[in-house]
Amino acid sequence: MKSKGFIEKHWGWLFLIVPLILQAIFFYFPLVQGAFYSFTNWTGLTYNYKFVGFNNYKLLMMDQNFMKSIGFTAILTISLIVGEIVIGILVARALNSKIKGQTFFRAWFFFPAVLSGLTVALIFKQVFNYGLPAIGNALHIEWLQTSLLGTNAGAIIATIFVLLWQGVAMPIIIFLAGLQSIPDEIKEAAEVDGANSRQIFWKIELPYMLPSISMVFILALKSGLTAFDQIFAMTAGGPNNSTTSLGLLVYNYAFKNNSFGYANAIAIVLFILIAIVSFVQIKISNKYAVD
Amino acid sequence: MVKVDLDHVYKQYKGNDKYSVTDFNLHIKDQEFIVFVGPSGCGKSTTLRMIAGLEDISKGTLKIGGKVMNDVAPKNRDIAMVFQNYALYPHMTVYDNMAFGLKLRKYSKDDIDKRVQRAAKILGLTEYLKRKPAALSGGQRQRVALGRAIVRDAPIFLMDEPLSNLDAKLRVSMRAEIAKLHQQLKTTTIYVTHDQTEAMTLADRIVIIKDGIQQQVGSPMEVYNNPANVFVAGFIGSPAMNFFHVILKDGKIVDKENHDFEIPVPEGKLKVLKDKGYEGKELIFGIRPEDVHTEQVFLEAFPDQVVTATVTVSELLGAETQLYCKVGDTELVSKVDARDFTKPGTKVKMGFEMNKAHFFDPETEKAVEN
Repeated sequence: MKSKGFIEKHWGWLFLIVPLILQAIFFYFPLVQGAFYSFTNWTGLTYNYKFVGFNNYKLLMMDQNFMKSIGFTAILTISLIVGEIVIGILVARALNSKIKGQTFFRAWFFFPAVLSGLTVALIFKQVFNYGLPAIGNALHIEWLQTSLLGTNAGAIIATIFVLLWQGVAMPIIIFLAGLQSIPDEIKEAAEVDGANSRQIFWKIELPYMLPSISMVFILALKSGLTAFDQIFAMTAGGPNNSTTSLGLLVYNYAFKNNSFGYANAIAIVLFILIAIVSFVQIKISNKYAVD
Repeated sequence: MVKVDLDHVYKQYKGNDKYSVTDFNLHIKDQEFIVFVGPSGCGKSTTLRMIAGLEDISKGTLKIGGKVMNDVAPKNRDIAMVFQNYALYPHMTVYDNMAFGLKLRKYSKDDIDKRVQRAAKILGLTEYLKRKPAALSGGQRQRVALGRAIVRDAPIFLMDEPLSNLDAKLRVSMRAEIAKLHQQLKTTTIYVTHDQTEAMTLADRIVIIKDGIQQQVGSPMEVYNNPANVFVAGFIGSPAMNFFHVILKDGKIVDKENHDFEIPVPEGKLKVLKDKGYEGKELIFGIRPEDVHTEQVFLEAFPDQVVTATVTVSELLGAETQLYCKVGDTELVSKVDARDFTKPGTKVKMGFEMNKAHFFDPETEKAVEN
C-alpha cells in the first residue's frame, strides 16, 4: 500500500493549501511578475513590450532622480530608525514609571497609530503652510514666516517629523511590553548588587529589550524605505524632488511617466535592499538576545 | 561586627488601612542565623525587603551596624540578597552574574577573578562558569544566586525563600549546603521561609510571624518545647500539635464536649494552672503527636492517661507510622512505631505523656505555664 503511506505522511499539507494558494497569488506571483517586467520596456498601457535585458538597471545607475531619492530615503530611514528607538524607549520608560494618569497617557501616546497616514499628512500640511507661518509672523521669527515645506531642508525635516510623530506610537507600546517583561526581582537584584538606575538601564533593561529593539528596527526600516502616503499627501515629493522617497519614485515612474518596466526595476532594487538589511539585522540581534 | 536592629518597625502599603507589619522588634547579633517563618502573606518577606531597602519603612528604625539605615539606598547598605526565583541575569554567563556586583563596585580584574573562582569552588560551579543561566538546572541556578552573594563578602546575607523552587530532594541537600556555608563564612544571615523544617534545622533563632505580628522569637528548641501561643505550637512541629478544648476539674482535665476522657494533670503543671485560677475553667490542652503513645508498656504504666481513639487514616512512613484518629469529634494525630500500624476503623488505646502537655488560655490563646 504505497499510496496510503504517502497520504499518511503528507496529509498535513492539506491544511496549508489555502494559505499557500493565497500567498502565491497575492505575493509570490506579483513578485516574480515584477521582476520579469523589470527586464522589459513595458509602459503599463498596452500589451506590447520588448525585452531590454539589464538596460533598466543600467539606466538606474545614471538616473539623477534615483540617486537623489536613494539619498533622501536613506536619511529618512536612518532618522526613523534612530528616532523611533530612542524616543520610543524614553517615552516607554516614562510611561512605565508610576505616574498619575498612567492609563490615559498610554492611550494618548498610542493615538497617532490609529490615524490614517493621509489624515495626519493633511493636518500637518495645514500646520506647516498656515499654522507655523502665523506663529512666525506674530512672534517675528523670520525663518518661520514662510512655509517649511517650501525649502529643500525644511521639507525634509518636516517630512521626517511627521513620519516620526506617527511612527513612534507603535514602538512605544512594543517597548512598554518589553520593559514589563523584565521581572522585578532581577532589577532588585541589580539594585542590591550596587547598580544605580543608569547602570540598571544599560546592563539589565537594554539587553532585555533587544528583541523589541530589533522588531522596532525592522518596522522603522520598512516604513522608511517604503514611505509613501504621508509624503504623497504633504509634499508630493517636492520641492525639487528633495522629498521623493523610493516608493514615490516608483509610483511617479510607473503612473506618471508610464515607464512600468523601469519602475519595476527600482522596486526590485528596493526589495533587495530591504532583504539584505533585515537579514543582517536579524543575524546581529540574535547574537545578543536574552535567551 | 555587624548587628541588625529593628525597633518598632511598621509597614503600611498605600491604599491599605491595616499594617502589613506591626511593631516588629528584633536585635540580631553578629554571625547569627535568623529565620523568619510563618504562613504566606504574614509579612516575613516584607520585613526582609525592608531590611534590604527594597521597601520603605513606614514607621520605626532599622539600624545596621549601629547606623540608621531607613533612607539608605539598597546599594549602600552593603548587603547581599538571594531571591526565591534566583533572579539571575539571563543574558550574562555564570561568571558575569557573580562578577556583576564586583564590577559595579570597581574591584580590580584580578580581584574579581579570584573571588569568583573561590566562590565557584565552594559551590562546585567551576565547570559551569561559562554557561548562561538557561543552561543550568534549578539547583545550579540557586547555587549561582548564592555565589553572587558570597563573592561580595557582604556582612549580611538576606535570603528570601531560596529553596522553595527546588524539588524535595534537592531542597534537603541545598539546606545542608546553606548550613555548611554559614559555618564556613559566619555571615550574619536573615532567612525567610514558610517551611518549618528549614527554620528548625538552619536557625540560631527563629522568628515566628503571623499577620504581620511577631509571635515568638527563640532558639529552635525553645519555640518547640515552649511555644508562646497556640499558633506557634501548631505551626512548629510536623505533624502539628493536637489540641483539645478541656475543663480543669479536681486536678483532672475533662473533654469539654463529650467527656470522652478524664486525665489527671501532673503535680507541677496542676499547681501553675490552679495558681492562675483555671480550676473549673476552660483550657486548650495541647499534646504533640510524638507524645501520644500506643506502646503496651506505657499504657500499662499510666492507665489513667489513656483515651480510646478510632483510627481514620494510617500512614506508614517506613521508620514510623502516623495514625490519624478521632477522639469523640476531635482529631488526634499520633506518631508511633512502624510496627504499630493499625488498619483504619479500629479502636486503639492511646496514652498521653502528660509531662509534655501544653496548656493555653482559650481566649488569649497564650501559653499558661510560662
